[in-house]
Amino acid sequence: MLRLFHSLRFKLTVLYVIVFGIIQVLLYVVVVFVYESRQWSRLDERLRQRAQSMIEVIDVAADGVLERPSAVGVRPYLDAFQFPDFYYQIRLENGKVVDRSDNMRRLEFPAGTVRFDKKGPERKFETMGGGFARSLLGVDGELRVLTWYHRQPDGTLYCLQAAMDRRPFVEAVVDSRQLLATTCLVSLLAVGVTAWILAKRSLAPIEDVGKQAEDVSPKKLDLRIEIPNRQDEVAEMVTTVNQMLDRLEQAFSEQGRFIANISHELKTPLTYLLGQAQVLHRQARTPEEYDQFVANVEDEMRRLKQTVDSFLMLARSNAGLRELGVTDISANDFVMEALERCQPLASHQEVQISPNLAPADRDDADPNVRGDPELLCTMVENLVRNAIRHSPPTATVEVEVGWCDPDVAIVVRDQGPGIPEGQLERIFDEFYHASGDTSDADGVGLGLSIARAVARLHEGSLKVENRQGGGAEFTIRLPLARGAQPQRPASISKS
Amino acid sequence: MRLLVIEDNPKVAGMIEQGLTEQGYQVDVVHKGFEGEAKAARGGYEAVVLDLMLPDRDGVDVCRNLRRRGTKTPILMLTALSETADKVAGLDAGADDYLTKPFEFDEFLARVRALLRRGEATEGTVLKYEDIQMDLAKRIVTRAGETVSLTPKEFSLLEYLMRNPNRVLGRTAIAEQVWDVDIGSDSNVIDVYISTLRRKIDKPFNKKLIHTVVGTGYVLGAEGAPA
Repeated sequence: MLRLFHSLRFKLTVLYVIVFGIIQVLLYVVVVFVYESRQWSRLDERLRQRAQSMIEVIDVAADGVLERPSAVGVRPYLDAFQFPDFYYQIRLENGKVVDRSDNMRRLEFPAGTVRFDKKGPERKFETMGGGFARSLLGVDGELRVLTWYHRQPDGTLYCLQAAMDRRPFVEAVVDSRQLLATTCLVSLLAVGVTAWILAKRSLAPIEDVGKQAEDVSPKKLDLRIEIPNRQDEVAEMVTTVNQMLDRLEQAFSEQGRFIANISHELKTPLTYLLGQAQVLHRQARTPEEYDQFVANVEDEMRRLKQTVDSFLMLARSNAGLRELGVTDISANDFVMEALERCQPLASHQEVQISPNLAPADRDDADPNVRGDPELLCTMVENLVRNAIRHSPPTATVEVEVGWCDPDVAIVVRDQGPGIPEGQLERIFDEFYHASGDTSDADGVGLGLSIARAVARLHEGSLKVENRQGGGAEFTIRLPLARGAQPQRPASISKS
Repeated sequence: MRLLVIEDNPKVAGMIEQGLTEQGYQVDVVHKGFEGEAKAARGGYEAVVLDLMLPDRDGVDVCRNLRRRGTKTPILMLTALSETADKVAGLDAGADDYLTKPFEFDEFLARVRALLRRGEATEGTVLKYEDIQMDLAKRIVTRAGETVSLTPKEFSLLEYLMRNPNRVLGRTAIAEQVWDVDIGSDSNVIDVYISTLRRKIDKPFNKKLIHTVVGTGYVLGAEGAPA
């Protein structure tokens, strides 16, 4: 049930109903206001017209009211029989009532409502209720009263009070309010129901996509969602999701390959050692045979150690920087450390290492990088070992550290055979071996992939190009560390 | 020479014991941390080989406790953990050196020998020149009483200069002494490091002590570059 309240369908419907409801309320208020104002104006206007007609045709004197001779056919206005809802009374300045309509019977407009002071307005409208209205109308109700002061040409000042029953108008107004309110509520309900139905129809394709996506799992990663036959946002979303599934499928399959490779690399030496030990064990062997085996054990174990170290290093490079291990270290420092580690191999291969470091900049700052010194050193070491192994004797491997604001650049150049054009990106793949070439940094094929992983981990990049004139050039770019991290003299021990 | 080995895996302990005994050392082996700490504190050992992963107590704690109790015997830590953070933790706790497993046995022996040499050296070899003072054991450098913070390579470079004051040292000689890399003659490595060393040692102070001798090399001298 709770899910219903959270559903998009419910929210949309509620939203529409609320918005429409607000519009309805505003409309109601406006219409009611306009209509009612008009009604009351009409009432007042009717009163005024009738009063005006009367004033135009009568002459008021102290003893009574006379019609003027010219007023033919006006008499009907004064005939209360024809207009039972119209009441009038004429009062002189001295307070005497000289005329009133027959339907007033013996009643008089309250004396306090007439004031002959010169300051008041000539005409005044007011609504009277209470006792007077009840007596006049016979029931509870209200009268609309026009009080009009008129001075005749002969100087006589009199007050004409005309009144009409308000009740019919009040009833009309109440009716219209009720009708309008009902209409608003009904249409609001209609909108709610319609929105509820339409929302379901609009959201149906999304639900469908959701159902299809449920089936996708690591075991069935080749499933794709059907693109509906339309060109709207839903189709776009489906296309994007399918592309995401493409990428996931690829990543999973790469991972599968990686695990297969690791298994192979680890199990091969183990297979040999275990098997050979068991074979030797079956009979007495000569000391020479045992000696040979022990030497082989040492070799294989060393290779296995290298493999394990490489895997661990790769796992670390992919895992992320541990807060505790991070410090600022000058690129000059970890590059020189890497070169020291590679010197034995260089001497063995008769290759010359030629380093060129980055001097301090204008502000006397060192080319500092923020990160894990061990990983950074390994990254450079792998590139340099790779370069050495591919260089012929007496060749030179150049290692250069340079400022490249906002980065520091570390370049390793060799005079080897270079890299086949189509393989420039693939050499960074795990376990990559160029055709027939098994002489890479760690003998396992992970050296370059580790180097790139470390570069990326430190928010940098590693790229390769072939040099004109032969050989390869690897460029590492790392962001310079600026700002206040305390500089500990970084230590990388030789283990 | 008597050595104490604190290692819980019996095969590894046996291997180390055999290797060291055949080199002529007297070796005592202990498999637990508490026991090892007690034995080491009692003294009588020239060096201690300490494994980090012990069943009853963390090796780092053993090391820290020994130092707190005043034991000055050199300690070599062994561990499978090779991350920088772990190395730093071990060295900060008072270990003198750190070796990751698995190791080449030759390297292990060499480091043990280095520890033993260090233990024999007079407490705190201190080099002095003018107002610069270098404590080689504690790895602290001060000038005019103020501590100067140097990286390991900068330290080695200054040490070489301080051991040969007032002598012009050729760039090749400096390179060979301080780095294990065969640096070519057209490399700027020495210049860059001399420059950072100057920034830390000379620049904040009045008297400049590190001088360039054009075409030849560098010299640590009080009276300016010799003619």
